[in-house]
Amino acid sequence: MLIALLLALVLAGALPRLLDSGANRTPVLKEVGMRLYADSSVREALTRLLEDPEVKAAVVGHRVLPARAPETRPLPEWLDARLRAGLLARGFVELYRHQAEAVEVLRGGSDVVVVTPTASGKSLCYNLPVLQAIAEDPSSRALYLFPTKALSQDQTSELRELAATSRLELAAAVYDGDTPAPIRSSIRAAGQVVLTNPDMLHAAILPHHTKWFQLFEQLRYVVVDEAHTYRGVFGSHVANVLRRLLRICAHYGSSPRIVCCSATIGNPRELAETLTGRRFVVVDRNGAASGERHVLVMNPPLVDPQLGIRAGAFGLTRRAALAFIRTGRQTIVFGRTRTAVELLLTGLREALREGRGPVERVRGYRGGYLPNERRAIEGALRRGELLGVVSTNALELGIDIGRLDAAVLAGYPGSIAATWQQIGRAGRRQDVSVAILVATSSPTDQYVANHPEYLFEGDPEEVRLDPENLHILLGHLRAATFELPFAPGERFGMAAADELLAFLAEEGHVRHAPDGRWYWASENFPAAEISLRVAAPENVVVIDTGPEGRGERPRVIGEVDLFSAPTLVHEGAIYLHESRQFHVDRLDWEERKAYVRPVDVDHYTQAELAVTLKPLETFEGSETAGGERVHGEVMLSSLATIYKKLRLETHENLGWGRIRLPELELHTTAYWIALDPIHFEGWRRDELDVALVGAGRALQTIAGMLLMSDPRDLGLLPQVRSPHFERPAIYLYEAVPGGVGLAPRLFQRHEELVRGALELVRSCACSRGCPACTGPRLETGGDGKRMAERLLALLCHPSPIPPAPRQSSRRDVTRELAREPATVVP
Amino acid sequence: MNEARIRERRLARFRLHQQTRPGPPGQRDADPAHPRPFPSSLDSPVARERARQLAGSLRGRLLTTPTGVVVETETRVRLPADLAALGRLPYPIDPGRPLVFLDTETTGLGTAAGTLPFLVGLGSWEGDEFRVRQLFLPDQSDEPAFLDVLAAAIPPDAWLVTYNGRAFDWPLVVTRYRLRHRAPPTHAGHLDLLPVARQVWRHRLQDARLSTVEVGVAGVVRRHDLPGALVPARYFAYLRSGRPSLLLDVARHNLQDVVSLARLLEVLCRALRDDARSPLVDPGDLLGLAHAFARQHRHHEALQCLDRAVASANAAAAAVAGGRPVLVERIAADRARALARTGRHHEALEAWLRLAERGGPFAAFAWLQVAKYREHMMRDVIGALHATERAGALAERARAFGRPLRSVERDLPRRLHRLRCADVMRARGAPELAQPVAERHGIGQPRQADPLDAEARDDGSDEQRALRRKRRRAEGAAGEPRRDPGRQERVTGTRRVPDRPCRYCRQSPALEPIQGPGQMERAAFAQRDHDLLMRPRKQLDQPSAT
Repeated sequence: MLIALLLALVLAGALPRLLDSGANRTPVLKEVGMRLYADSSVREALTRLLEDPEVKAAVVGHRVLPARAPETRPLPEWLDARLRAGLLARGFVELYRHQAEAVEVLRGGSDVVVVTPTASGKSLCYNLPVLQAIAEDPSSRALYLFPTKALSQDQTSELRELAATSRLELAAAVYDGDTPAPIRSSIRAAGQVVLTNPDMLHAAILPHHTKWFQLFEQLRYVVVDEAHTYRGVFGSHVANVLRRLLRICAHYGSSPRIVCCSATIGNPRELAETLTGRRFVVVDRNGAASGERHVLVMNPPLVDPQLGIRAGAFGLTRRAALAFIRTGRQTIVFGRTRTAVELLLTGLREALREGRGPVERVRGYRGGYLPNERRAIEGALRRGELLGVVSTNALELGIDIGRLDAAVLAGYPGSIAATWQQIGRAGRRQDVSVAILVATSSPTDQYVANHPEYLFEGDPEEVRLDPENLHILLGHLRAATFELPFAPGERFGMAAADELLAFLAEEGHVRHAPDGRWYWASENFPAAEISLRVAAPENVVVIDTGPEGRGERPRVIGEVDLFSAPTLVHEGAIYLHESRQFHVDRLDWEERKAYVRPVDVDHYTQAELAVTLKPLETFEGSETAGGERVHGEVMLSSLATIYKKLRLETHENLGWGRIRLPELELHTTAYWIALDPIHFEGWRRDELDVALVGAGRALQTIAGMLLMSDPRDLGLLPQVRSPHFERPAIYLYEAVPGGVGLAPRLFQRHEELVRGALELVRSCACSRGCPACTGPRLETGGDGKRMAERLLALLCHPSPIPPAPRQSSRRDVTRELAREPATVVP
Repeated sequence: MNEARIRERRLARFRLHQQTRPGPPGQRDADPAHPRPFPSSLDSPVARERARQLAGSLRGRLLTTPTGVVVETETRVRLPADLAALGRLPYPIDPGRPLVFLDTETTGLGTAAGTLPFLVGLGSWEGDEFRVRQLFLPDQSDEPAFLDVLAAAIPPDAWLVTYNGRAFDWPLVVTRYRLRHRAPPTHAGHLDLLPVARQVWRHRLQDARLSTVEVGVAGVVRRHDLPGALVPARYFAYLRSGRPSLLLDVARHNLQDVVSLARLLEVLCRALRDDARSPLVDPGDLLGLAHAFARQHRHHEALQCLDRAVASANAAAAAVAGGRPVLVERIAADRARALARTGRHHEALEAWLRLAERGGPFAAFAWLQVAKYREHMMRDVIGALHATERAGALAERARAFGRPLRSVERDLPRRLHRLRCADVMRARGAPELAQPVAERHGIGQPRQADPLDAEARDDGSDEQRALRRKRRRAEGAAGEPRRDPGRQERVTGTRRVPDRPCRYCRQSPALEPIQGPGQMERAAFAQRDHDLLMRPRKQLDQPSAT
């Protein structure tokens, strides 16, 4: 009996696959253990899932996107005969519309940015012109840039396959940190297509450009794939790396065409143009076919309406994913963090084991898995061997895993663009597919859950970067001078570089020679001082010295950026890492090292930060309902003062200690709303306080959504009485020194921002404020929600009381002002 | 223009609020903004004056080209040398070409685009005199002129002699030409003395830096030398202050480097001069040279070097009590190997035997070599077994002393097993095991296919494997097609399956060898075809070796 059961278990893994091939067949019932499972179509699986009353109640939005026929164009006339034969052999009889358009634009000699969804055949848009160029002239070269190593590996094989079926001799190779030294020199000398990442280009290729002269002399195409990932600080760095690249190309007399590819975002042209400094033609009409697609938004039920606490998203995610996996449909589940992925995977496997499901055919996928393991998982997905995969956004980018039947998103990925990227993983060309977004209790998720139309009808977010951020720009200018002396009046980016070079000359790294050129005059290697992925190069490393007395070898367990260090790793702090507790024994501020040891205690610590904010200059300001909106530069000083020890479960105060660390200054850009005090006459100070905090929270949430930025990129600082404006103000400042262009954009989109914040607060199901809208009730206290709503309403609608006449909107802001400490809301 | 203004404003604020750490006072640019730019330094009176002062201070002359100014100095050193042996060196050098000794001083390490060579020393022999020309870059803007003068100073058929110039100096020079849109100067060849020093002299020195080698090998002692690490700072200080005296030390340092290069080459040639008058050369140096010869498959010359090394070691042992026993043993081992490679197999066997019986550190290894000879050339199974057992005993003892001989230990079980099986076979009356193969095949004459090589492919002691690897690499470097797939498979095949079944009993050598006739029946002896043993060993194991 037992043996029979085991046998059934094994069969359960194999059978669904056997029966997977047909789309509409009569359901075959298999008796496996105690439950009945059947292979069925996606539509049936969805219907059955929605029959469950609990699931049905959770659905807050359901859209059906109709099937779309492909829009194709014939293969271009000018295509090389070998390439044409190769395409036909691989089944490309025609090109999709966007592919044909992109190829023609490049043929016409313009730069192009292609914006189409996942798996629409974007890589052909650049592979085809590149191979055509190589077919015409084998000495042509191309450089591909991908944000991750895995993507470049994936693309190499695709490119090589196409070249092989076309019988074209092609030397295409990945050049990254993993490339063995003996191969490197041959790639430099003979690699026709070099696939690499921006970091490698920055640190290894550009500073050694003389060894790459064959590449730069013959460079015909530069491909920037997944361009939407180049945003914020990273994007600002990459834009400067591309400036350096084009400068080197000009030195060797080449002027490559640039192809940018991006997921659907709001401002593809602007992104491409900011990244490269060139003019672009946008190709965004997707011609690929797609089947009918169901997109559902689910919100887990409220557990405590008073506090606004909802059930976790994992339960619903698991249920939805199981519904498809058990019927033999390939399903991808996206978790937001690595931990979430592991938890979801464990949950799914347990459920499958209980129900005798295909346990082995569900795998995890995230950073930290070995490259070989990842390749194996990708291959198994493509071949249909795996039924389910639980992944972080690592699979969101263009790695080829084929098209799946269903996607379940455990939590809103943070932006409309990323959501559609992940949803796009499900979608066969002909068949029906399903995508389900399960909201968590975070403010952003709740906003989406309450306004599903935001997802369906809203424009995808814009990508912001600011290559002119001086903290970033100056570093790259050093590197550029190192690579090639600057001629007088030579431009770097938007304007001539002379003034900045004169500034660098004062530091002593750059020298102005008698011929007027600027030369590098230092032993340093400037590219080594810049890391593209981090803004401030200074980090505090956290070093685990091991349990006391064991004498274990200290090891680095993590890094904390300099501005968070005083609140996270001050002496006496309990630092959490991978859900383990560490006690900070010593913080060596000069050496930027924090020494910790593992402990197991029942409390955590919370540091109080006294933050003062001083506006330095207003760039723009204008009257608006309820006050004034401004963006400008600010100086933020933060001083960690004390920390509290709080019990884990109850948060009761167990004691406190002092923090003795120097004050930190952050010179950055900010957007702020200065409120007209006339509206708040009769408000108590504490009422105003909770209103400001609550409204600020909501604004911060919406700002993050509008700008597609990391929530940590924007800091919030409400002031009841701003020392500068002498009225209440809410500041949203950029956490990156110098800013990356978020603040000016918030200033422009002020209306959307306040309206969105008001909507968020109004539509939240909680009664008196919750973490999803105005912040935890304990934090804001009182009726924070109502006060915040009133305040935001004021900002949205012109108030009946006319604003009092004031002197001028611009003042002398460099004047030193009295500082008022305020509490910062992280 | 608007962008320019935005950037200007941003910079002004950045300046205000940036906590810049200004460099030390001397580091700052004396005059940050020149009044007006000049197309080249020729038009700048400041730069011209600076170059003039530099030339005066270094007692050199100004070379003015249309693109700038270069300062050149010339120094002659009396340096008689006998370079007759140059053509016989086991290193790539052509005595028919003009030798150019080259050394650069730069603004940093690394060959990236921002490192600037500002002084190039070029040395050449003119009779008994050694002439060093030094080219100085008076200002960064004079670089085009500097490169043109340098290109003219290196004849197109020159043979460069450098120290680490393959990896550093020359790539850096090439980089500068690329940066200035010029073709790098051509040359016929390049001898880098750094790998030579590592091979020949490193064994008796602390490291292989030029300063160490010149003292230890050529007896050069420098006084008040400027450490190389300070060179970049000196040049930057000169650029900023215009004081030419800062470069005097750098010039002397560079001159000495170039002269030392010449001396080292001379010492190297002297080591090859084989006559009674020449003083004894360190036996270790000769061993290194022998390695170099062997690498080029010039085994006769390697053998000559080793013979001289033996003589030199004997003389040294007579002079200094004790000598260097390990070195002597190593020389003897290499000599035995060289004898085998030159086809003198009987002498080789004799040499191995002597080495084995002396019981030195290579004794176990030598016994194994003896075993190979006895088994494959003499068909002396008993002798081979005896030798293998001796090797085993030594290996066991070495392990007991905590210094296991891993390569020997890897070889032993298999060989022991096979020989014991062969012994049983012989007892059963397999006549072919009694007849020495050497006689049948006339081995002992200059070799065609070395039985040792065939053996090496089978057993693959570490050393031989390394040798094969090197040979392959050398072949690859010479531009031959990279190893054919069949061969590679064979190599990986032997590596992956170390315990192929024994050729006699068809069992894994990890198992105990067959014991007596009774067991022999059971052990799959029936499968073995008798003809297999009738064929010479060479064909047995390499069906497609070529």
